[in-house]
Amino acid sequence: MGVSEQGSGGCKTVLLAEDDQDIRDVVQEVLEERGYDVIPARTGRQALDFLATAAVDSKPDVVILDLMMPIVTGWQVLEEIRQRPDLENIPVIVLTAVSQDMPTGVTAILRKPFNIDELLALIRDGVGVKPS
Amino acid sequence: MDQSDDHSEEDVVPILVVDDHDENLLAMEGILARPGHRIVTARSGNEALKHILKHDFAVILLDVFMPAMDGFETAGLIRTRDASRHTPIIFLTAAGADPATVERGYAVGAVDYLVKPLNAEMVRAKVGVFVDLYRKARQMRRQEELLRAADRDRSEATIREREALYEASFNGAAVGIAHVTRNGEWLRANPCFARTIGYDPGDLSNMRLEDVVHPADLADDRAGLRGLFEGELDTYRREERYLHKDGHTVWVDLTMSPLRDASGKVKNLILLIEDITSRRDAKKRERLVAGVSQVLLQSLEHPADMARVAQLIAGSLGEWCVIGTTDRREGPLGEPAVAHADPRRAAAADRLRAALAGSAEYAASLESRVPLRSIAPRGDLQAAWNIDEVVLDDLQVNRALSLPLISHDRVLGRITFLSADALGPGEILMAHEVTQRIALALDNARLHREAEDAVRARDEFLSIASHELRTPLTPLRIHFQRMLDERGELIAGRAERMQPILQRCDRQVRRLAALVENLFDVSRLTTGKMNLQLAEVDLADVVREVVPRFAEELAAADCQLSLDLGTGGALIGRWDRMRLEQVVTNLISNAIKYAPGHPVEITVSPGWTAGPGTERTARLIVRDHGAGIPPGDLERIFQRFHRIAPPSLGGLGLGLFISKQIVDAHGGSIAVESSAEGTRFVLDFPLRGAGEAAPIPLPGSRKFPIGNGPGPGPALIGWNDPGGWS
Repeated sequence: MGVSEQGSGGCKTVLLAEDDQDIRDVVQEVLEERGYDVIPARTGRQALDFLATAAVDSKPDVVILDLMMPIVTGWQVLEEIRQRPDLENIPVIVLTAVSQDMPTGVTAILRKPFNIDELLALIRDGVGVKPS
Repeated sequence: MDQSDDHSEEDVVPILVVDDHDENLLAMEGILARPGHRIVTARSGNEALKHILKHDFAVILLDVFMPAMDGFETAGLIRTRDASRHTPIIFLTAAGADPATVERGYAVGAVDYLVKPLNAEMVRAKVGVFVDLYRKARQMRRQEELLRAADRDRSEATIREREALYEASFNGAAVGIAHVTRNGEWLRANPCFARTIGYDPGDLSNMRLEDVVHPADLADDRAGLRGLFEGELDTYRREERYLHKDGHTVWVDLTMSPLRDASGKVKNLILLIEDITSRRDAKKRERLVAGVSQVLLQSLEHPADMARVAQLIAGSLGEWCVIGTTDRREGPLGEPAVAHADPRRAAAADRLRAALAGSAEYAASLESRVPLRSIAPRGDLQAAWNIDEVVLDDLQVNRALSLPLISHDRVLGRITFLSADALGPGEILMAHEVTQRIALALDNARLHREAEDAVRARDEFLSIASHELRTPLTPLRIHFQRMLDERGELIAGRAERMQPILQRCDRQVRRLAALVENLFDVSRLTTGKMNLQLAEVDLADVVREVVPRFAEELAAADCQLSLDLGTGGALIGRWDRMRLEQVVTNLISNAIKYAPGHPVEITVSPGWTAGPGTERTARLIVRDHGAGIPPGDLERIFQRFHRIAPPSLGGLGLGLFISKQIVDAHGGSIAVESSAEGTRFVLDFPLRGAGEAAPIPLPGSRKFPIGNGPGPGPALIGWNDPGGWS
């Protein structure tokens, strides 16, 4: 696992939507160790609530999205993001444990159990390309 | 001549001697008298004629010269009589008669002359010739008579024989034979004819053609009958329908031919019928079974397929065919397939279909195993279907046959054949065969569907299992990665940092192990290898032990849990404690998972098994207040691999399957009730086998259980503070 820190430009915000507490906790911990601000969401509903209420300057820089979540699924979150002009350029990294029905038009898809270094690299790249 | 012979009266040869002189008569008698001769004398022509009128003579000796009527005159008169026209006449004449006299004698029929005085030898010789002739002629005549009599006897015997032969053929024939008058009245019918249409031969004598010929064929038969009597037809032959006494149709190959009298005039008709019903049935059966099988083999997935089957049957057996199935894939009850042989009755078929689709009685009849055969379908169908009487009357049927569709002892539906005429025995067999084929096809379709469902469920399960196994693997892998640096080497010397990571790894490994254990349970249960470790267990005790483990989960899901552990005695049975814990855990886990934010209620109380032989049980009720289980899923929730939750809720979908297997292994029962207000699982574990250790609880008699288990804290009753166990 790399130890490289995030690039300049202040604290970057990552919205982490994942229903499994153990996965959510460890990913949040690793990202926070790397200096990211992590907003955890236990359900798709919580993720949408955050996106709906976030001020323009506190919008997430990257969204990490599990597809299979109760109440509101990752698919529904994805749809909502695509319908919001202010969110259309946000990189979305999808986490999934199944192999069929993959969404298109996302930054990356990681299959569980994924390599955390790969996730960190994708976030770094996503943050890098994103105009801040 | 045989003079010594004994001559019977019949053998006597009569000889007539005619002479006006007694002495001549005496002399002639003397000459001719001998056995076998009967001499008749006459003294005048008149007397002679009188004898001749009465008797036949071998020869007549006639004196030519007699007063009053002479010999010639007498001979002339003799010849005028038929009987004596050819009797030989010998004239007696005096010597020296002139040749004219002789000629005259020959002219009136004399055969010879004897000249007086008579020479006895000459007389005997000449008379003897005629006596001999007479005897021979008489013998020939007698022989002729004998021959004629023998002939007569022979032909009478022949006629009798012929009659006997005809009777035997008539009575024993394998074809029906009958005689009919011009008016269509039966003169006589042979047993086969009567049998073919179900009557005794005598029954037909009071009947007419129209009583046994199918109404649809009667007009043609009448025309044929007329044609035969008028001489326009030599014979009339066709395949047509007769009516059996019990009402069903008999197909016959009919031949009508005229019977003529001596003058050649048609007296009446002879009818030959051969029963070809079974031949026609065999052909019909072949066509029907082939047609139905073809549809059934293709598929029964769509209701239209059954409609096609019904249409094929309606065209062959009766006029109406109604097929209803208990298959509830498409709503509570699909419309039955209804068909009439005549496409012009489609509107009536639509009305019947709609009426049956709306009849609860019809729906109930589909579950029945009882076949129905009715000759008064109006009332019977009204009782079985309870549909609009106008629709029922419109069917115009007199017979109904209704059979359950049964395969592998399952009732899959019902097929009803309705007809104006009764179905024949062959047709009833055909109906049974078609019924069996449809039942088999339905069963095959069901098995096929179940197999497909099972494969789909398995694939889904494998996908879910894969998802569930990957979930704990994800943090496990991340934790392992956190223990290595960027070069892939172990970050050493920081035990205080490693320890929590390893603990969290262990947690994921345990999650994986629990999943694998569940999978293993399924495999064990499927192969029937679950061994119960039976010991005396208090059900309330098990619940008390399991509930605190859910404290964290209850809090996270914002659920409140309340417990009612009963007011009776301890409910102790011989059960497997670990397995019971597994069941309680599954049910609570489901209640939290499917009804987050809603209260969960658990009750333990005495109960009773359902049905006869009621037994006391320990009853566990777990109730949630979630959205409930869709009715269509209710019966499947205890099946392996059947998850009703969206995959996002997690879980292998094995919990209820495993729970039911455990309850069953304990001889208990698990039932579920669900509505939009929530779901209630009711489990009964039999107390039998617990021996004296299980006191019979008296409802309401005790406030708290008394026993050797851990004492229940009153705080547990109405407990709703899950946080207390964290």
